[in-house]
Parts: sequence; structure tokens; C-alpha cells
Amino acid sequence: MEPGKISERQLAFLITAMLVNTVILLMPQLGARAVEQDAWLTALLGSVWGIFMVLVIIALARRYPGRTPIEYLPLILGKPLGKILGAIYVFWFLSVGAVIVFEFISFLKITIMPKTPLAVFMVTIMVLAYYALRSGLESWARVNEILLFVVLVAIAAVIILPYHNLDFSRLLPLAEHPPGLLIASSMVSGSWRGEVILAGMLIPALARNKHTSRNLIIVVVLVGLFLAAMEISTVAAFGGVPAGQKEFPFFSLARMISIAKIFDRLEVLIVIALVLGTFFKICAFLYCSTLGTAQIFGFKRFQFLLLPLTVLMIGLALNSFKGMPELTDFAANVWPGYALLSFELVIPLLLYLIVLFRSRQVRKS
Amino acid sequence: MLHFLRSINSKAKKIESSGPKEVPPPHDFKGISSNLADNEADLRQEFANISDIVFKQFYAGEVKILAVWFDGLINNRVSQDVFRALMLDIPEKQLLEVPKEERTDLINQHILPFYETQQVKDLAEIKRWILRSKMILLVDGCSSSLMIDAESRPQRSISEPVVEPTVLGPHDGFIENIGVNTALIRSRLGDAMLQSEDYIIGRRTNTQVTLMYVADIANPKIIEEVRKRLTRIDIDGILDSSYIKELIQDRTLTIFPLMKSTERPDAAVADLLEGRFALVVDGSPQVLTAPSVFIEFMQATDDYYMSPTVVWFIRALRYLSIFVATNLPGIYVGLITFHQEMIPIPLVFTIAGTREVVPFPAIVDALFLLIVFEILWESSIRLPRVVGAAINIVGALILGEAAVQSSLVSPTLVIVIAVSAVANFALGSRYDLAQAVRVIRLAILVAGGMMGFYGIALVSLFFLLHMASLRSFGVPYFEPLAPLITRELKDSFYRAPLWSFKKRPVLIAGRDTTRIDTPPPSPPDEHCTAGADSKKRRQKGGK
Repeated sequence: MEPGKISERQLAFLITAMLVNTVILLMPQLGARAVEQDAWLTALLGSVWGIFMVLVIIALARRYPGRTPIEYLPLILGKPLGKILGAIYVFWFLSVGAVIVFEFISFLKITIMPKTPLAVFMVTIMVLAYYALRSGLESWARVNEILLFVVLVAIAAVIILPYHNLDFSRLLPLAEHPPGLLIASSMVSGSWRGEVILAGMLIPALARNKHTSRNLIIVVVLVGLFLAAMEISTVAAFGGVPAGQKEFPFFSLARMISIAKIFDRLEVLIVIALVLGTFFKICAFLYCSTLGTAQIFGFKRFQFLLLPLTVLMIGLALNSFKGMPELTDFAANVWPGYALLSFELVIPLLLYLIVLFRSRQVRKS
Repeated sequence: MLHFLRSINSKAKKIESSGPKEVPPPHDFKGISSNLADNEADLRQEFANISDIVFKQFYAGEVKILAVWFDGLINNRVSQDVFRALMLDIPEKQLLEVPKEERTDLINQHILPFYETQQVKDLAEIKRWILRSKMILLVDGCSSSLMIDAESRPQRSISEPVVEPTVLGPHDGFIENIGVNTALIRSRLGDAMLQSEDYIIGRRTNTQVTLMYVADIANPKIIEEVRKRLTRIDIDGILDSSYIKELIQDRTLTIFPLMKSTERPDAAVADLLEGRFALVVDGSPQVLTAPSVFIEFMQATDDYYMSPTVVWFIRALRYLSIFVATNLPGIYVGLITFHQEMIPIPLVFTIAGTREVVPFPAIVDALFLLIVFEILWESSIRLPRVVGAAINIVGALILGEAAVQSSLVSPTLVIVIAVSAVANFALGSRYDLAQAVRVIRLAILVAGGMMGFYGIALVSLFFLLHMASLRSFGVPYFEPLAPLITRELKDSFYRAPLWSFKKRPVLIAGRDTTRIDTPPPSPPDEHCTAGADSKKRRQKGGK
């Protein structure tokens, strides 16, 4: 169905863009809110969840080569149940995409252009996403390949450049919280790392599928280290408790940057660099929901579904939340259950167990 | 009816071997008769109402011969030689001694001392050769005629390239004559594998187009694709190679150049050696080469004639130029309108001071100034050179000076637009890319004025997405940046030393992939180092 082919590197870069962007906006304060100075440990622990999900989704993809989850769900569960679960998955892609759009656009509005209505930002970025998807997976994967570097450098600058404000003694005492609490709060960061399961939808578009699981695990671990560095920087700059109270610690950190006392207030550039990364995350979610919809109904092409789904995503994004506090609350309390404990880990794991069980039965008979 | 007509003589015809040799007989083959008067009548009817055609009848010994050509398109010396050989030098009876049908053979092989000749029997073909400025000899009693290539079209001499001047390297450029152009390429690339195919394109202009490629370097699939696209062309006239470019490139609705047109033979040969093909079009000093990728347009021929370390700096400058040329006005307006806090404080006062008296918002000012600049650019191209100087004075001095003094625009903005324009000219040698930059700059300016940096980011993303979706003969436009081919980055943002270009571009070249196999320079042997003092040399015997 997807005419273009992407390389393994492009897939890894796309997943990196997905796991980093918008996560850095909410994760630092949510981590700090839960376990104060140990937030960076939860960022690292989140990778364990991520690795687990990579293994499950890759194992499923190996069983059904060339098929997306939406296509192999009916093969595992039977047609009616599989199609229904597929539709639920597609809705999940769409709704998470909408959450991301809302989250990022609110961030943009609050930080750099407070007087512009949300809808203006949303419509412009979604129109561009529509254009990107129209011109094919290949082309936006390529642009992401070029721009990811810019995004990561911008975030790294936020982590490193406020060095004169960092006080690492704020990270002490180390691992003060009980392991049970650490693991429980790592589920928040783990559920973001779990967006890696979108790779399942993209694997059939790979030109070569040899090192995918290795690449994805490396990506998950590296992103974990990167986000842990982000947490360390945040906590070292503000202290554990105040970091948890900030709306966007990332942005506050960016405001501390001052180069040679001439170039300060560079946070706008950082935010703009995030646009370049988040755009591809939105594209990935929109792509997966469009492709999934087409596959549920068995359409040969999915391009004609792009426009309605783009509009739907804008609508969802505009109406899901009243404001940032509600979204933060959603991310802290609902999101792990909506993502990690259902769509990202539990359902794929159950599916894999069914497949395993069935193949064992076939072997016995 | 229309379809029938098209199948006869409209499609571009491929000539099997290069040069004016065998042409496959077209569908309407009509042999000429052995009666000269009939043939003359036929030809006169074909060329009725043409005043600059010459029908010259004369006798070679006792045999009547008719020569036909277009006035002014034949080399005078050659035609005089033809007439002298046939009218004066030939023994009286020689042509009568052979059978009538072998008369042209005799003339061709024994009498005329020319190498570019060919026997033609088809009337339509005779007509075509005459139209393509050759001379035709019709011999009485013989049902074949003789084509003599004594072509001498009005042409200028080889001169310095106009669009792509360089300081270092060869200074000859292509001209409007295809023979000269292919010779310029051939003389630089003396390899039997440099193959060429001729096509006649244009129902009415019958323009010759030569496809050149190095057979064992070029990718056969790409060459096959070009052949297919060339034979698909059906047009009345080809006036310049850009017609061909537009008709065969992968996509036309784009501002970016998808085929490189160069007027430098050395650039064309370099492209051929990388596995690209070249299209030489008669009447155009621009030779097309493809597949082209974006970074090629950021390279200049000089880059390979200078020290690589210097070129690092120059390349960096060029990439900075394209960034400044496209983004500076947009960034300035975005800063002034939306992100004032980003401007360093001392600069804020300077800019605010100059903007204080200006009545319009920054975007209006900037658009006004940019459009005035674009108009000036356009007019300075179209105007005769003599008047051009006047435009420069009016544009640069009077307009700029007066606009600032009347406080219609702020001086800072004038600087911004001027810097951006100068940066645009830094890409001058790639004229088609410089045109694309003009469009991008305008788009980014409008976006920056409306939505600040967010708008600029979106518009930049749009252009990047568009470029990433482009292909030139199947090769992704962003190769080797995306898909990333690390090995080939050595000729992108910087240029590595020549000895490190070991392989040809992987997505473009076909079979023979080794480009350079020279070892990197190593420290010299002991006997020729600076330490080789006179004592040692004397011991070795004087040298």
C-alpha cells in the first residue's frame, strides 16, 4: 500500500524524533513531581519498558512479515474481533496525535506567541503535515533525517548551556525513594518511550529489515540517556520540588541560556527547533492513523483519507482539553493506563502470547 | 488523421550512429527517379516559394548535374572545390564510361575529395538534408543522389562562458553549434566508451540533439530512461536546451533545477565522468547534464582547481550565502515584529532609532524594498547594456538614498535587503538556483511578517519537504544528505582532497565505480627532502 521505501536509518531517526519531541516538554516536571531529585532514574528506567515493547512488536512483525499490526490483528483474533481492535488502535493513533498537537501548540502559544489563537497554529501545521503525507513517506522521512540533528543540538544546548546555573548537589540524596515507587513512576516515562510501537506500522515500508530491533533498542536506550540528562539539568537548575511545579521546566531552562552576555533570550530559537522535530512526530501519528484506516477497510490507496483524517485530528486537538493543566493531569494520571498498560504493552504482549500458544498447538497436532 | 500524421514525421527520430550517416528509411519512402528533370521538378515543388534556395545546374563533362543548397549555409570554399572538381578537373568522358547508376559512386569515390558524403535515395530524406544545411548533388541518369556535408552556419567563435565565469581553470565555453560543442567534450574525454546518440527533435525545426554518456560508467537504466523520454517528445520546435529540459525532467511544477545546464566543457566532462549523461542541443550554448542533485548546485567548477582546504572555507561561505539570501529579510522582519526580546539590547536602540520615523510596519517596508529590488534586477537584465548603467544609478543611488531620506524605509532594512541580494549573487554561477532563491526569500519574508519564526520554520519545512520529494531521473534530490550516504559527504559541505574521491556516486554511476586510485601524498623519499644537502648529492654523482 505504501509505495515508498525508507531505510533502516530513516526509521531509527523517525522513532528518535518521536521519542524525544514533546516528551521533553512534560516529562521533566512530571518526573520531578513524583520522585523529586530521582526523576532522572525514572527516565532511565523508562527505557526498560521501551526495550520490552520493542522486543514484543518486533517479534510480532517477524511472525507477519510485510504486514502492519492492523493487518495481522484479524489473522490473530479472527476477522470481527481483529477489525474492531484494529479500529480501536487507529483511534488511539489519532487521539494520541491530537494530544501531541494540542500539547505542542499550547506550548508554542504560551511561550512565544501568546496572542495568536490556537487554531491558527494548529491549522497551519496540520496543513503542512497533510502536504508532507501527500508527498510521501519517503520525502518526510528524508527531511527528518536532515533536521533531526538540528533538533537534538537545540535540546542538547538547553541541557548544557545553562551550566553556570546548575548545582549538582540538588541531585542528592541519590535514590532516596523506595524502588517500588521508582518503578511505578517510571511508567509515565515508559509510556512515552512506548510510542516506539508505531514502528510496527512503519516496518513494512522498510527497504531492508535486518537490524531493526537492534536499532530500535539503541534508539530507546540513547533517548533514555538523553532524557535523563534533561532531568538532571532540570533538577540541578531548579531543585527537585520547584522543578515539579513549573509549567515547562524545559522552557525555563532555555531562558537561562546566555552566550557572552550579548545573545540571551535564545529560547525562541530553541522552541522553533522543536517545531522542526515535533512536526515529524505529528506526521508519524497522522500517517499511522490514515494507513490504519485504509487497511481496516481494505482500501488499495490511503491518500484520499488524508484530508478527512487531518481535519478530524484538528477537531480532536481543539476540543480534547480545556488547557495545559488538564493535559498535564492527563499525562500524569491517565496516560500510563491509556498507553503503557493497554495499547503499548499489554495488548501486544497478549497478542504475542496467543500467537505463541497457537503455533505450539499446531506443532503438537 | 492526426494520429497518422504524427506517426509519419513528428516523433523525435533517433539516428542510429552519430554524425550524418545512416538514417533509417521513414514510412513514406519515395525513391528518386533517374531522370534529372523529374527530380528537379519534384524538389522545386517541395521548395516552392523559398527564395533563398539555390538550384545550380552544370555539366561534368557531358553529364548534367544539379546541386541544391540553401544560400549562406554552405561553406563557400567547399562548394567552389566541388564545382572545380566536377566542371574543370574531370576528364570529359569519365562519367560516360561507367554505367549510369554508378555515376554517384564514381563521383563520391574518385572525384570529390571530401569525407563527409553520403548517398541518398529517398526524396524525403534529400529534402531533410537540404533543410539541415547540407548540399545535395543529383546526377542525371542516376537514381541516387549525393549529400555533401559542407555545412557552414553563421556562428560566433568560442569565448569565455557568460553565466559561469571562473578565475582558474579552462576558459572556453560552449557555443550555439552542436558540432563544436560535442567536439569540445570529445577533445577533453578521449575515451572510446564516451558514446553518443543523435536525435532529431522538433517537427519543424528538426533540431539535432546529441545524448552523450560514458558507457561503462553511466547507469544503463538511467540512459534507457533518457532515451525513452527523448523519443516521447513531440513538439514543433526546439529553440534552446531548456525546452528539452522542461520536456524531459521528472517534474515541472517546481522552482528547483532538476537538470544542470552548464556552458563549461570541463563541468560537462566532470559530470560525464561521474556517470551522468549530457544532452547537447543544437543552437544552445547550454549543455544539460543529469541526474542532478541539490548539492551539485552549490559547487562551482573552481572548487576542484583550488586547494581543498581553501575550498572548505569557500563552500561554508556559499552555504552561508544561501541561508542569508533566503532567510535574512524574513528573520529581520520576524525579529522586529514578533521576537524583539531576542535582539541584543544595544542593537535594539539602533534599530528602534532608525525605525522611529518610518510610518509602515516592518513587513510592508520590507516587501516594498524587496519588490523594488527584484524589479531593478529584472530591468537590468532586459535593458541594453548602454542604458543599464543609467538604471544602476537610478536604482542604487537615487531610489535607495531618497527612500531612506524621505524615511519611507529604515536604513537597517536597506542593509538587510542589500546583504540578502549580494548573498544571492554569490550563487550567481548557478543561475537557476539563484532564481529559486528569489522565490523562497519572498515566501519566507511573508511568513516571517505574518507568523514570526514559527512561520519561517513552516515555510522552510515546506520547501525542504518539496525538495525531498523531488527526483532527477530517479535519483533523490537530497542525495547524499538524505538518504544519507556518508562516503559521499566529502564533496558536499566541504571538499576532501582529490585522492580521497575513490568511488563514483553510488546512486548515479553504473558499473565502473572506481574514480581515483592514487595513494595519498606521503613524505618524500630521503634523497629529495630538504635534508638532502649538497654533500649527499655529490656522492650520488652530481645530480
